[in-house]
Parts: sequence; structure tokens; C-alpha cells
Amino acid sequence: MTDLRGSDGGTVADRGWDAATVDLLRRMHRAQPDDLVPETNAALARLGLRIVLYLIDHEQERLWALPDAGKDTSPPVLVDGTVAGRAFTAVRTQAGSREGERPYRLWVPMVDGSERLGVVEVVTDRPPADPAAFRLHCETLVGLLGHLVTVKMPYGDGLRIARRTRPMSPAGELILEMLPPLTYSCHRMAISAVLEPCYDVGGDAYDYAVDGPMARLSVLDAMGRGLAAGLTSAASLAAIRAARRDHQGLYAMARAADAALIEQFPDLRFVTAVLAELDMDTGLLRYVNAGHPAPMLIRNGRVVKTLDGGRRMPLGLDDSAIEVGQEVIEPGDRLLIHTDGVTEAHNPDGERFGVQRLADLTERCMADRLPAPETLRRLAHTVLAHQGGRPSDDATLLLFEWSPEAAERTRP
Amino acid sequence: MTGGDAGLVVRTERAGDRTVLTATGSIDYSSSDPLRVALESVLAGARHPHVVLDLHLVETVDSSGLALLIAADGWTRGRGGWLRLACTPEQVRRVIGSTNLDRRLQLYPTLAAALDQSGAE
Repeated sequence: MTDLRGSDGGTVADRGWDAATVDLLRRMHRAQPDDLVPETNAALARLGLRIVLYLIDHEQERLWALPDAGKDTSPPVLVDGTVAGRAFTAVRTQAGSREGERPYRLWVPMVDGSERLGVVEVVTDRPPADPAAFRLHCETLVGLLGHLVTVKMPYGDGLRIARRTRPMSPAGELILEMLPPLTYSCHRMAISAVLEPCYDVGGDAYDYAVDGPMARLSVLDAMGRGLAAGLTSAASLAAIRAARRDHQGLYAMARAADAALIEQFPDLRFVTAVLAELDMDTGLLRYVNAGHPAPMLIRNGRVVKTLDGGRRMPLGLDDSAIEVGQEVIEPGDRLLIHTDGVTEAHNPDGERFGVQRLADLTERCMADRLPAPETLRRLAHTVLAHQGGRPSDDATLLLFEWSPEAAERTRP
Repeated sequence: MTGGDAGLVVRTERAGDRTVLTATGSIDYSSSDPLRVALESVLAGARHPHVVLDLHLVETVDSSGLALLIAADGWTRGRGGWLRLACTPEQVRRVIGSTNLDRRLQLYPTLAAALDQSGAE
């Protein structure tokens, strides 16, 4: 294809992509969630392109193709050891065909902003004249699809079901609906979290909110199991958010959770938690630790210390201790917050996973310069494998990376 | 925060005006009922319940077990008495320490120390 520039400076190919994008957006207004793929393919037909959209399952092990009208649904693809999986884990587009081979194929990671949703296979019988420009167009299109999948998700069950390999427990439904996306990055930081067992979460939860220079993070672990633990955790999270959105500080957020739990539950319920806030203009990190494992501070790829201040009893125990921990941290630092389900995970011989193993593995992932969500996917899978795949408790990890480079690694 | 599913056996003995509960097994989500029943029966008749819980035969305590200990501590205090934990094994001390619950629960190294009349109220 020759580079025929039109009067607006764009190439003919650019204008084709523009028209397809406009068409796609028009089709989306009244599209059902399950119309997403057929409508996209209808809009792309003018470009001689077809997509197959794969969503990642909750365990982050396989990619599952969404059905397309009148076509056989492609089989699921393993994340580990495949080209599609490589696109997903590295958040980098991968060529799916050799040079000159037809059809021409790209595997493009699909994120909503930075939340990893899956991959899109773009297929065409006409190899592009300018592969670099073609790849950029595909990445833009797939970025849009990532937003559209997220926007369409609430209106039907189909997109949610596509990510499940088995039924979700009621507690899992409750907690997952409350949590923000697993990954968020902006220009100067990246946050990512992982929660196991992903279909049967009990009392673990995480939360974050980034406003201006302030990054606010929470990790919670409610006592007990099942829906009772889920309700305890949900009540705490709601109380913490309500206080935070009422401009209250860490101490008041913890006290709001105390009050909610004491008022709501006649029996004693408690939640261990870390509530933290970082001012990214000054590096001042403030935190409250309500009976939770201490967060780890990672500097230059090494776990340099645990943050042992700010201690009080678990939320729900009416503790008026007012100590708020403080630490001045440096750009480039990382924080890792975990629940005891990670470190207390034991193998059939009773050997605990332990803090040291968690620190060692984290450092190894840092050395590999993995995107934050990939570091956590690997850590979570290692913890699961340690237990022979049968966790006895929830395990949650939240990683905060304070650097533009970390943010850059989370997008295509 | 949950743990194993080993059973729990609780023995109740009187020692003067103190009650000693000796627990054997794990105090966790699925096993803690015998301890709850034993505590409730001690508290039912007592005006100033002074309860020592001997934990030297306890293997693990999970978050549900901790909740029961905290609740029992509240029940005894609410009736003008106390709950003391004696001979707490290392695993259980670690859980109590890491959750900052040593700020509320009273731990004694030996049964004799927990039974001592001059012990702090």
C-alpha cells in the first residue's frame, strides 16, 4: 500500500481506521454485551480485518474466546508458554505469524487503561504495507475494546461468565463487586492486587484511590470464613470509604470501621487491616496497621524493611490508640502489603510459605522488571502451588510501585 | 485468617474461686464450640468470674478462635472478673502478638502465675 496522504495529512489507511472506529462507536450505543465481538467484526470488515477477543479467567491461567456470530469459538489458550499468553503477561503486542505468512496475525494485549482483561487476536489476509503503523492502529483499537468490554460488562452476565471456569461463591460475588480493578496506573505510579482463592473469597479485600498527589491504599482481612467473613469485610470497606470520601484521615477511617462493625454485628467481628496514604509530592507515607502483617518497603529491588509502626488492635475492637505510622519514602520505592493467608500458607508437610520466601520471590520479579500485575500473578500462583492448589485461607497481595517506569510497564 | 480442622476438647476444673479450663486441640472456625460452651457454663453462674484458660495443649488458634478469646475476655470483664491465658504456645503467642491482641488479652507464662492471687486484675 502506498502512503497516499489526503488533505488532512492522514493516509488512506488512517482514514479507513477512523471510519471503522466511528462505525464501531455508533454500533455500541445499543449493543448488548454479547454483541461486542460481532459488531466489532462488522465495523472492521471494510479493513479486511477480523478479531477474536479473549478474556482472562479469574485464576489468570487461560484466555477464553468470546463467541462470534456464526463462527466456531476458538479453544482456550494457556497463558504460560503461548504467544497469546506472552502478549498478556508482558503487556506487549506479539506477532502471531512469520514474515510473509498469510493470514497475517497479531496478538494485542487488551487492557482497560492498565487493567489486564485479555488479548485480542487480529487477523487479516492482506499483510500491511507498514507493519509498525498497522500495529499502532491495532493497539488503539484494542485499547478502545478494553474500555468497551468494561463499559458493557454490567449490562449482562455473559462477559462475567466468560471469565469463570467454575461458579463463584456468594461471598466472592459480594466482594468482587466491591473491589476496584486489579490494576491501575497513572503517570507516576502503578498499583496492582491479586486475591485468591478467586472464586471463593472469604474475608479478604483491597481498595485504593488516587487523587492529586495522594495515593490511598487499604488491605483488609476479616476473621472467619465464607459469607459471614465477606459481610464483615464489606461493612468495613464501606465504612472506610465513606469516611475517606468525607475527607477524614486514617485514624477516623479506622474508627469508622470499628463503629460499623460494633453497631452492625451483635457477635464480635474483627478485621485486620493496613490503611495507608502516600503523598507523592513529598514522599510522606502515613499508615495505620490494625493487627495486620507489616507492609514491606522495597528499594532498588530489595526488601529493605518492614513498616512496623502505626499499630492498633484489629478493626471492630474499639481501639482508640491514635498512633499513625510515618515513613518518608523515595521515588522508585515499592510497597508490598499482604494478608497472613500468604505467609501462613502451608504445604502438606506443614511448612509455612513465610515472609522470607515472599520477600525473595518478590525481589526476583523486581529483577525481571515485570509489570506489577504479572509480579503478583506469579506470586499468587507460587503461593497456591505451595499449598498443593488447595488454599485453607484467603491470600491477598497489593503492590504499589512509585515510578513512571512501573506505570509504563502496565500498558501496551 | 482460618486454620486447620482438628477437634477441641475442654476440661473444666475448680481451683478455689478460680476456674481452670484446659483446652486440647485447635481453637478454630470449625472446632471452637466446646470452648464456647465451657465458657458459657462457667459464666452462667459466676458473679466475678476468674477464668484461667490453660493453652499448653493447644496446637493452633485461628481468627475465629481469637474472636472467641476476645469475646470471653469481654464477658468476664463485663461481670467484674477476668480471663487469663496460661502457657500459651509459641504459634498462638505469635498470632496474638501479630494482631496486636496482646493489648487486650492477658498472657501468663505458667498456670501457677495465672492462678496467683496477687496477679494484676
